[in-house]
Amino acid sequence: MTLRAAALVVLLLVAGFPSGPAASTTLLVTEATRRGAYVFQAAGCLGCHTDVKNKGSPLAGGRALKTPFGTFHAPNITPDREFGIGTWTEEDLTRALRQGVAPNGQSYYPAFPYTSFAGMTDADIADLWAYLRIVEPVAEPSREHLLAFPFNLRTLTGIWRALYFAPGEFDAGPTPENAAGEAESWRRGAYLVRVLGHCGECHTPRGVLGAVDNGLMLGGNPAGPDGGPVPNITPQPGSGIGDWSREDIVTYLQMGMDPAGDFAGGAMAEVVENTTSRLTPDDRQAIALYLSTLPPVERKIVRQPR
Amino acid sequence: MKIRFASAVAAPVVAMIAVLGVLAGPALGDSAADIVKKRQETMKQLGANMKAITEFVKTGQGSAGDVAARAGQIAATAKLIPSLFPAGTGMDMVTDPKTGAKPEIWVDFTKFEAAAANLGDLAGKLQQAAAGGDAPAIGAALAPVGKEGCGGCHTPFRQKLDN
Repeated sequence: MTLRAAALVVLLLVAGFPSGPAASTTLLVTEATRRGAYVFQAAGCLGCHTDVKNKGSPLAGGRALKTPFGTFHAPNITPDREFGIGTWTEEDLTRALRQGVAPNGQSYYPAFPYTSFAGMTDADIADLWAYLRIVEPVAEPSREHLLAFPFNLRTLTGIWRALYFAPGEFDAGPTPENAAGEAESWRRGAYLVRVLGHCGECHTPRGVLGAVDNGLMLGGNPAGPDGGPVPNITPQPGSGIGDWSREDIVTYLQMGMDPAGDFAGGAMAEVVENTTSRLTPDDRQAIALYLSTLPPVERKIVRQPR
Repeated sequence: MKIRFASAVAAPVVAMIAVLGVLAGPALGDSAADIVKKRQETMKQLGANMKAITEFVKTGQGSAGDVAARAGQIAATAKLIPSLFPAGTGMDMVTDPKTGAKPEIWVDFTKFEAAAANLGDLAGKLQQAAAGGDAPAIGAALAPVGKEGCGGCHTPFRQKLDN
């Protein structure tokens, strides 16, 4: 340990950070935690795991996700040993993200988008783990989900998982012709959109049991997580974003302005704030490239009557 | 300084106002549908101004004088916004044309007025920055106009309409 690092540890301990076993080493900001912070932003963890509306502590859980099955509350993922994930190991996180299974063996509800995160690279999971270890622990219990029968029967999640989830490495598929000269950026875009960014969790419609319908990938969802419609973002002119240029998409991701000069509100405004505006310009370009090469879906999303 | 600025940008400002049209609040005798149409026109105009300003920040197209004029118009329009939302013109009351004005607007109208006033303040700051002519300062002043100004109203009070 360098002198500076040692000084930092002392400082953190004096400042009243929790000093459990190994706390002195895990509190260090390292290259891994820096990369992990980026993965954390790109994966949009903050948005669901924080109850922003009610001024909840970061990552202490509680945001309500309203779905046709009931209301989910994302749990506390701070390193608090009692209420958060302070007793987890890196293997536990890996299993949660890749398999959708909690340390106690229960399967998660797919409201936790492990179906997307399953494709995360080893390096990204390791870095994310490093970062999650150094966030401020919050001793607040997670809120229970409020689900209608029979969805409140936890054993069903295992059956759902068996039916709809196929674990495995992420494969973006062959690079399409219109991205031939930019294959690397295209693959990065695919990873950002389909794995880390889990865009399809809102922008792809779901079937009766809540599995996303990838035949209509990113073709819009009339019943998004806030009950409202989520637009079609495939390059279909008219019903999708086929008349947006790649630069239009980049501008939207960077500052939330669409080609009409209109600004995102609601859930997407949060995504722009917490995720897409914080990505590197190269990553925004990669997302724009990937979206512009998706199979267009002709599907107009209409608002459901309130 | 103010005078020099005025002489430098007066002509473009006059031209701009001719191009962008004159601001209009609701008139006596307007039906709910008329008001919805009018405010949708107004929002489109705000959008066009934001787009043009963003274009300047990103690519340097246009001039700082144009930006100042457009930001001034956004600030002036923001003052009119509350008058464009009289009770009875929400999405639960008017179906033709469709409107995305949520009933929440009239639950706490003071909050709505404050959100509109905030847009005006932020656009005023952008106008000042543009009058200074410093591109990075303009960019820095633009971001909150979109995020907090436009977004500050759209998040709580607007349901995005279908294309």
